[in-house]
Amino acid sequence: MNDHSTVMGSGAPGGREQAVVPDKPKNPFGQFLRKFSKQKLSLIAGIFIVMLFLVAIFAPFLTPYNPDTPNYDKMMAGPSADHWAGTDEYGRDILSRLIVGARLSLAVSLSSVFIAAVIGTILGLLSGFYGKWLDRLIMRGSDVLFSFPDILLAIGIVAILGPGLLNVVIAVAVFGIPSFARMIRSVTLSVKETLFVEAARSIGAKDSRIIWRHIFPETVPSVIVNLTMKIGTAILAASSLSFLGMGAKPTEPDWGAMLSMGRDYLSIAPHVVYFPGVAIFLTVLAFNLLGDGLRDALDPKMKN
Amino acid sequence: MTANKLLEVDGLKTEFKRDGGSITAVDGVNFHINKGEVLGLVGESGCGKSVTSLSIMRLLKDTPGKISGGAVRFEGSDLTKLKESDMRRIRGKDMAMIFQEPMTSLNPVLRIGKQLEEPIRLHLGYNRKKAREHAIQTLKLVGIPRAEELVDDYPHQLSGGMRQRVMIAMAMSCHPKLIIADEPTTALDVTIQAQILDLMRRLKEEKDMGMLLITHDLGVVAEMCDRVVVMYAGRVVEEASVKDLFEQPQHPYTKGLIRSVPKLRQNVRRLESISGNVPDLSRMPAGCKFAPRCPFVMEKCLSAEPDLVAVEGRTDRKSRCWLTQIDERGGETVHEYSAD
Amino acid sequence: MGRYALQRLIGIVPLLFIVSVLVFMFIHLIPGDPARLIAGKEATLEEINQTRVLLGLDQPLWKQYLSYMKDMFQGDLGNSIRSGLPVTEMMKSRFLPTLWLTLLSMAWAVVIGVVIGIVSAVKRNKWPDYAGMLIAISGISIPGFWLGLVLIQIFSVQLGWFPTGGIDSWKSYVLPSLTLGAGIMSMIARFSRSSMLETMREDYIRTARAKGLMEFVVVGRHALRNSLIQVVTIAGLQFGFLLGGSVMVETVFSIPGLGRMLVDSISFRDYTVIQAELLLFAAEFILINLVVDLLYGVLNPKIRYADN
Repeated sequence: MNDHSTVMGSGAPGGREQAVVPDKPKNPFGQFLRKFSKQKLSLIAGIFIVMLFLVAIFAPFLTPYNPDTPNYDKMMAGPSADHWAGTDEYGRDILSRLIVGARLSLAVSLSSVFIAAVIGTILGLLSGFYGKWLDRLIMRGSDVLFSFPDILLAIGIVAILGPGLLNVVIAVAVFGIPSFARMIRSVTLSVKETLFVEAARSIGAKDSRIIWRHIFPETVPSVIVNLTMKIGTAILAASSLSFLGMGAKPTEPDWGAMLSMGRDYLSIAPHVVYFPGVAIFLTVLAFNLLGDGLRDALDPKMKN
Repeated sequence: MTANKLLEVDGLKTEFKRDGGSITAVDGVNFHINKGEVLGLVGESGCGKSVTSLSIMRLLKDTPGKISGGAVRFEGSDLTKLKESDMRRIRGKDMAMIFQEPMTSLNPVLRIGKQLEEPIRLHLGYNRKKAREHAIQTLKLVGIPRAEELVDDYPHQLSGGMRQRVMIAMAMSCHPKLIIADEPTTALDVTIQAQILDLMRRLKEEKDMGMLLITHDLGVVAEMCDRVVVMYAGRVVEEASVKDLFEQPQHPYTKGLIRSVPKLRQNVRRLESISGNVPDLSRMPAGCKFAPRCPFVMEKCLSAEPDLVAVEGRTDRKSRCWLTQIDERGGETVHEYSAD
Repeated sequence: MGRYALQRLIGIVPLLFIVSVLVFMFIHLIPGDPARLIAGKEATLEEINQTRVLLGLDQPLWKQYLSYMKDMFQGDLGNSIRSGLPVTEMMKSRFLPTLWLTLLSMAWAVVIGVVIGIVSAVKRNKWPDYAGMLIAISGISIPGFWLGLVLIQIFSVQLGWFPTGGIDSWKSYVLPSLTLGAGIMSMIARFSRSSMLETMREDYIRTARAKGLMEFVVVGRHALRNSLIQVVTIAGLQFGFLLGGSVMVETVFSIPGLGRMLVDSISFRDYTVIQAELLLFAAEFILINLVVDLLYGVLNPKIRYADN
């Protein structure tokens, strides 16, 4: 055996080596933006949601009329130049009520999903990281929650706590927890096996540090995607509860409650029902499209 | 000579679309297979050999790949120009394929018999009963005992070697003229590998078929093939008879491949490997694609890519390397590289 | 298969137990004294105490649970606070409309959903795919109760083709099942698309093509059967979604089913009825999941022949 192997092993001189070494990964945020902006529908949905947030924030300045002031001369008038979305059974301007209602819808859905995400993520991290009895306990717990169809679970909770938007937030949050817990658990399990967690362990890092600094960041894309997807579900659930009279009070300008009130006038003034429904539909659609786009851009493995 | 050619791949070019751009996985590949001949197609993974086989069969559907140039002549007619319906008549009938992964290449929810009968009923026009008999016959041909019972089994009930036999039976069932076998033994245990290779050689001789054997295993090549085509980075870099290839490899890449095969009874302390990796197809070096890994690299190699030319004026012996071509012209002799 | 089925059956026992405990606890979780809740607002202290003893609410919780379970197995889920009628009797008459509604919704949703999914997968990134997926994501985003109202406005009020509610004839079920099935249809469409796409990348699909089979045979015989195994699972899991949705749809279309009964009992604080309904829905959901698991075993030869 001569030293040919060293000739081959030494590889090629400097400059040319580069040609076979793959590129460093590009800036991940830039990559995300590039992928995301390819999905036109999701982009439009994102813009719609940004605008919706602006509307919700500046609602008091945007409403053409006071959303609560009745006008008995103009009850259930159809859409016109004065009232773009018509008026309701008390002659209140529907567009103004929708604008103010955006606040309620976003506040209820965001806060419930956020609560669910925080609790679910913590449970998922603990369950995946520690395993054993804690994992079994948490996963059996979410099995039980999963064994009630979600809207029924919410109805049950509201039945216990009584009607009202705050209780709707709690109910919707509770049924959102298991999905976060399960998803984060599976991510945690796969991250736990990776090299850098092993390395952190071997140098004696504390559990809390490993979870917070090494595992949690890996779960963030999944959390964001699931969060976006669940907001749509939460808006639907909250408006369903309001529609059934278990959420917002009928007097509140909540989209679901407006539908519930307008239902009796369906045959004479369908616009009273159409506009709040369209508002819910478009908002939920936008969040779902955004969620799809984020999923494809952030985490292609999560498809399905 | 031409009349003897079963398959002729002529300047085949296959491109893959990726992220807006496109990469050329197979770039101007030329080779032919004579009737009753076994041609080995050799190279590292990612060199385009599997894409070549899928291009020949036109099975690139549902991949981002597309044939963008060249011709594939099978018994004289250009497959790249055929209508899809005419191509279907050739697939599984005149040209059949055996895939690498016997574990996943059979449909898990259909019985073995049903899957075997499909091409038989389609191409030979047999009815269900006759097709089943034919399927059982073919299974016996590939050395499967209790074939009558096995046709009613599902794939997961069979071992890997048995499944590969089923795949071979499936390929053989309509008496093809050409079999394309893509790494047929790679996924199998060593003892099973030998059995499957024996089987394929026996069948090939009995049925006088041509065979394109795709492999990265030079041991398989030595055992099975008549001629060999070596591919690197989507190109053919060397073509030779098996004997010539092992005795006098021309291209440095081929030499490297041969040197990296462990040999028994030779006092080898360590196995050699070719340094570096196959270049990323989207970022190819400018000149010779092997230059970055070549131990004999010269200035010229970096700027211009050599053509695939006949070595020493022989038509059956080609190489794509400046060294051999400079040699040809009687230029400076390169320090010969004694293969142990 | 036998062992698989047995495992699944045993697996749900603890789940049923926990659910029954939770549902039993329901009435104790409501703020306030359950005896007072059941006896009613106008009840005197004496009446409340009588109710407490009568219902065994003075007993320790575990004894109460045992007797609750004992009664339940004998088909006794207590009496309605509002009407005094046995809850089991009330539910019996309400069961059929809900069953019909959910089955009809599921039936059309599965068929149309799978078709959309297949077409989208086969025509991936072409206009049928975009159209199919736009329908699907809209179906997921649309509030069911609103869709119901819009359908009523168009097909009952304007066109007069179908009744606005009730359960007088088969016609009464058309709009409600369209409404209830829309969401499931969309989910099944999305799922079957991605499942089909995944299957189409499998090696055995390439094998099938290499045999020279026509594309529709490759899709219909080789890909579809494999994806359907997964689609069945998902469809079954969505049954719970249907049960929840039936509450909304029965309210919108005034269908005297279990869902409507739940809403009514909540507005009248008829806690024994709510409790029974929750138990029934949860049990139904768990049983459906069991059936889905078993069906999965039947469809998948790997499990079906696991014992031999």
